[in-house]
Amino acid sequence: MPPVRPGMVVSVAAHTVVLTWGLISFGNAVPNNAPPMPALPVELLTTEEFNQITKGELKSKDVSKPKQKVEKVEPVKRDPKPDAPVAKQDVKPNNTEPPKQADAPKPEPKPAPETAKAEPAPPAPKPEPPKQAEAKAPEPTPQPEKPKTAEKPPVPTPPKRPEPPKKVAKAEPKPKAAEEKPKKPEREFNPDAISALLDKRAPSRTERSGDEISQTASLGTATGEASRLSVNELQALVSAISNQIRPNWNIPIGAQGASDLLVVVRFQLNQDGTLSGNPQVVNNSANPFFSAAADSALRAVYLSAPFQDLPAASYEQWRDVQITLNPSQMLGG
Amino acid sequence: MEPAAVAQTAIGAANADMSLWGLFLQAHFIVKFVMIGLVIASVWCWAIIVDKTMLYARTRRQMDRFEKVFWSGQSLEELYRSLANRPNTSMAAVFVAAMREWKRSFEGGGRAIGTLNQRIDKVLDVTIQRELERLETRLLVLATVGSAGPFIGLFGTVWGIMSSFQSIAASKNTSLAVVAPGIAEALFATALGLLAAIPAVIFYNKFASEVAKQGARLEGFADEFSAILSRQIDERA
Repeated sequence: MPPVRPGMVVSVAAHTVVLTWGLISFGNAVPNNAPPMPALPVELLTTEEFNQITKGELKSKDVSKPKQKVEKVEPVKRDPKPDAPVAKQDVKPNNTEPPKQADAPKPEPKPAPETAKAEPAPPAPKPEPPKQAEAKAPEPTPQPEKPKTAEKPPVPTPPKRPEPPKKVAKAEPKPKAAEEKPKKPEREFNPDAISALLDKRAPSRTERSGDEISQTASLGTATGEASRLSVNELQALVSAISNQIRPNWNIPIGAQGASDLLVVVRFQLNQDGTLSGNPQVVNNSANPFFSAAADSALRAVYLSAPFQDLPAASYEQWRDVQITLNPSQMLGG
Repeated sequence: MEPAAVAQTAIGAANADMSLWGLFLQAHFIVKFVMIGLVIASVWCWAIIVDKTMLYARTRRQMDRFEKVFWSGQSLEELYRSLANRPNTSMAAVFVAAMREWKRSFEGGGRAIGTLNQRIDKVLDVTIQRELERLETRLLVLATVGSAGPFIGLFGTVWGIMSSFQSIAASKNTSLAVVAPGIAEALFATALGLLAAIPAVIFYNKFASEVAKQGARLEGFADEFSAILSRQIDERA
């Protein structure tokens, strides 16, 4: 073998050359000058938040006053005054009269507010709708021209007379004559016509209903959201309701496995805390005492109405209540 | 790379040195060690490759020349005399070894002719083995670098990525500016490993087949020469 080994020399030289070339050609990394991606603002909404949107939409040209979304026109306008009879607007038709209504003055209040237009009986309707008072003024001329000055109260009063005596007092002097007239046809109570007086309307949906349909919210409110309850407030609401039901619930004593008799009750409320429609038991159980417990729970709900001390501002939150009644808590507390 | 250093380079990303030399300097010392080792391995491999290429070319030339002379009808005695005094390789070495054994047997008065054939075969075998060994030396280095190089580079890469993740954890910042230098330097180690391993593997395969070819050629020559000698022995006996 020849003593000269050129391999190492050649190799070192070649590596030196290559590394030098690498240092030069790779030099400094060339910054990648790609244009920055435009950022897309994305907002995540829960379904709840989406439903409560009252914020304005960019495309909206309508600059009317803010409204909440409404999917369906409410058939009958709510009377601004929360009177018992009005409460029946949301009632689902049921032939069994709820026990509570038994004590309420059935025949009188019903016809007047709701079926006012349809009914032949009352000449009252004309003066009735307060806003239309001016327009309709000519007709009730025989009566004192004053109803305008007397304002709304006198007119609707006749049917509801039993409840608001003060209003009548206010409007007293003139409308008295007016009162008498509408009263006469209504006073006569025809027991045979009860069925005609019953509310036969289809059950109202639990959708949002309002004066007019507005699928898109316009302009919006300052907060952009309808009032919402915090978890604490919601719990306070639930406990307020269940505290009012609790004393009225008589659980079948000695029921086996009473602690398993959870009853979930669902009911709708009006703004004044009265029941709207019949409470329903939502759940079921194989426990033989369940139906007894469920019935007693329903009775308890009827007995506890009207519910007190519910915040009016968050009516939307307790309009439709579903509450779990737990016998073990009831027994313990 | 130390976490602090990474954080520093992340902050001063604009002036970070991203050249090959800069990458090397920023690297953790273990990664540096791996890189240096791989560069040395690469240098060594290429030295072997150059040497072997030249060796095989020379050997082939010598074989061609020797065969030409051998089959030219020249007297074997003369050929032996001309070759005996200088160092020989491959076929010449085989020829000289066999001839030496032959001559030694006849110098003693031709008494040890009976097993001369076997002795010559043995000598031929041994010489061929020695020659093949000379051709094959240091090929194992190529094989080793070829198979281990990528792993060594990968080790450097894993180490570099490990430390760059450590620096992410330390600086609590996942921006690419923190990660990129560590990754780049780590990948540099893999690149060096591949750079060393790829030529090593290619040339190892090439050289292995070359050795086999030349070995077969030697064997063939040895068989022929052995046949010639045994004929001579039988004629004299």
